[in-house]
Amino acid sequence: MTLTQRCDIFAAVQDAGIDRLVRHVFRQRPSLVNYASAGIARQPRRLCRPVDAHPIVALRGNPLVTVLPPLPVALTSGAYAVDYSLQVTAVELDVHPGDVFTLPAELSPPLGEQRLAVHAGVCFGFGCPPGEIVDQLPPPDVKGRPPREPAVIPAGDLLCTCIDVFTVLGADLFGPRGAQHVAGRFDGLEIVDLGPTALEDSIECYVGLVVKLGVLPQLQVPVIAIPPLPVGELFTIDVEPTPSATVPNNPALEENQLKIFLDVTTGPGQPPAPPSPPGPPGPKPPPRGNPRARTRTGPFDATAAVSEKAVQKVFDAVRTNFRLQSSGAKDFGAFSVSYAVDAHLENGSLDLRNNGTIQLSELDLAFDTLRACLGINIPEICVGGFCIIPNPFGGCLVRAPKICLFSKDPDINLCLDIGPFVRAELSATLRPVVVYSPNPGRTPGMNDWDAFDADVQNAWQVYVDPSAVDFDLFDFADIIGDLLEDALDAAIDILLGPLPGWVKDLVKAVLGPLIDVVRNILDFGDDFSEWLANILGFNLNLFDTIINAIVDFLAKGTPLVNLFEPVGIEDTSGLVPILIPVESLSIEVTGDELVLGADIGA
Amino acid sequence: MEPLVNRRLFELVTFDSATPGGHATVVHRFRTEGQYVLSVVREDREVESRSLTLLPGVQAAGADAAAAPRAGSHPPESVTIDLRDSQTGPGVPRPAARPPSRITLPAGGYAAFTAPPGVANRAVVRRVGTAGEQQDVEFDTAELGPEDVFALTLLRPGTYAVRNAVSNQTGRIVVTYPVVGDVPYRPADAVDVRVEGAGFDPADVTVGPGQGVVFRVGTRSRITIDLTEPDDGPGDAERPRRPLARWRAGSRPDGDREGDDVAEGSP
Repeated sequence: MTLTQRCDIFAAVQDAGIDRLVRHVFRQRPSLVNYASAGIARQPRRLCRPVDAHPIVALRGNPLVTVLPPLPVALTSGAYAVDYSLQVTAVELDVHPGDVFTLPAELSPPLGEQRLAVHAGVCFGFGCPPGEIVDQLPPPDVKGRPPREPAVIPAGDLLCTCIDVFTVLGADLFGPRGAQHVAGRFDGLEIVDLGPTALEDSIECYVGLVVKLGVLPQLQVPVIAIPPLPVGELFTIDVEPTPSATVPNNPALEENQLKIFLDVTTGPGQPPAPPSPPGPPGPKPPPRGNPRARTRTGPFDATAAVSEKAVQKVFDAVRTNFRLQSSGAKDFGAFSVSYAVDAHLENGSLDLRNNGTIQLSELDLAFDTLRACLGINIPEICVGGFCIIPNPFGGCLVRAPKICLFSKDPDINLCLDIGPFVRAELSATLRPVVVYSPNPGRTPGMNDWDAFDADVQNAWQVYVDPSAVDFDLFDFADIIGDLLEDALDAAIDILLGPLPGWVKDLVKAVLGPLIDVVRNILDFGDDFSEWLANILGFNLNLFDTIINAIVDFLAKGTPLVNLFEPVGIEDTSGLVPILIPVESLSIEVTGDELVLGADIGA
Repeated sequence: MEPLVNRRLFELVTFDSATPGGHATVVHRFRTEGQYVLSVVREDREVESRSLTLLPGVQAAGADAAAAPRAGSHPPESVTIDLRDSQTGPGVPRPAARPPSRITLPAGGYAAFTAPPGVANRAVVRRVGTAGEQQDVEFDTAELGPEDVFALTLLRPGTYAVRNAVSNQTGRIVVTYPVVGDVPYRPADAVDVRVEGAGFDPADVTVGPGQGVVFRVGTRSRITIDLTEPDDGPGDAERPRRPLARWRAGSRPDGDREGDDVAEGSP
């Protein structure tokens, strides 16, 4: 069964992949999950759980802990406060079937179908001051002006309470068409080993409200945020979730994956945006690297599949928007040839093949303009010069004056619009390949963050290699020969300009059938069409130009996808960006779909 | 683009052996060695003179010397004398180099007098005595004599009147209209016309455009040729349609020979 059997695009993320992603966030941005009052923040060793932070945090002077105000002692008018801490020590995700952790009995294990469970470890530390210190504190002046800041009562080790919180969620699509998003649906929550029961229930109720009303809305995943394709300016892609009548669960929480099914339609291109002041140049993709084998086995952390039908839709849009405009010229001495071409593609089919290639077949190259221009040197035409006095020893002693009609070998220029009479087809075999490209600008001493800041990151790149492009010229119609004759007549008339008709006739009579003159000059034998096809195609490299234009258009001469690695997640905190390593990227063409897989690095 | 040499070439419809130019030339054979002076005369006024030296050379052997060489003799030589003077009028192309003021020619050689279209200069050659004095006229293009030749090429189709102004005898030349045919037109060999006391022989000549006419003079002559009836050819409606070339389809990658049929006619 193919991934896109009932949709155009399939995307899935493994729960293990999300766990890896969470771990990177925890280690690189510990202040997101560790909170404490200033006294504890200054001495993080006093936290209930040691913070497992990435070395970059210390290297860049980022905080381990987000500082919160100390906990005021009630009824002291703000005079006294105590230290405390709150740590999220772990977050795990388990998508049906539940096999990452065991749900508490209160949540009715095992995990139900189309459900995911989240386990969070939370530790609360309370800085309880010793009695002898408290006894020595002066009573607060409850009637006077409250102090600007409370006095934090010193304490020794925190009193730590660690609990496990489990919650069960579903997922649904919300929002109007064009702006739909995936959002979690809260099913239940359990805090383990908290008592008495009424207190546990109250706290669970409160935490549930926080999750439902606070956390889940912020975790909505926009579905429609499709990054622009390389041809995005030429056409638009409309992505919508596949209707429930086609796929019963969308999104689906199954097989340890969060899945979503999408359908694609394409539309006409958008008019170009008005020019805006150029911004700072973005990082430049590194030069093409080499394939890198995947080291892990099993399913990819993230999988995306595009159906052959969707690829065909995109191809249709690409083909519709392809335009070849080119010109060329060459001087052959006795004559010159130039051309101007304006062509587009029509028809053709696309086939994903089991050997990992994409076959484009029978693409018609339709010429809106194919103008071939010839510049021909007409030979000098002379009369007179006959012998008046022959030489008795042979030859001639005196000749009559020679009358040459042209001062030199003049050029006539004629152009043939042959577009309607030429039929050509293109076929191509394309092979998507993924390479890992080290950035030559990255020096050995750089870490990932240094490279990120210097815009010299390595990158995963997807190329579409044309393994074969065939240009078949099927018809260069005979009528082109007639076009040549008419054009020659017109060109000679232009050349002779305002001369009397008898002079033109004399010149034409001396030249003889112009086509014979031109045939001799161009040396095209008896088939001008074939000659012109060869000249344009091979001498002027028109066929290569066409092929290169197609290849460049398909492959853009640059990577189809350039994914800088690690992938950076920046925010406005001013802290180091969170960099998610992509351990491997893979693309596979099956007979039915195009499958992209990615692994998040450890 | 400058397609044509000189538009005047196509406007020449009047020729006079006294002022050979354009498509015409006068050829005279100088037999006797010695010093001569060539006067270039325009409208009866000498506008330029050049020295002409006849060196010892080919022995004069009568009128048929050129046609009957003897073993061991040297061939006669020839020189073309441009009658264009330094005061040529506007529109007349200037020579690449100024015509030489001193001309030498072995005795027995031929001098061909000509000029560009638009130049109407006459040549008068006198012998110079040992004391430097000019003697009788040796040759004058205004009056050709036996063995002189007047040759020209007529381009403009039509009927020309031919006249010997000395004897007042006449003839006629018809230049046919050019036919654009299946093969390139090449003018036939020049036609010889003898100019004798009895008149032109033949008196009525038909030539193609660009075909030469050579008047071989046997009596005192000044030959004039004037277009009397131009022939502008058939109108466009009557102009025969030139057959089109034939085309053969080229080979195709799939071997399909569709369109192999011979195509004729315009689309």
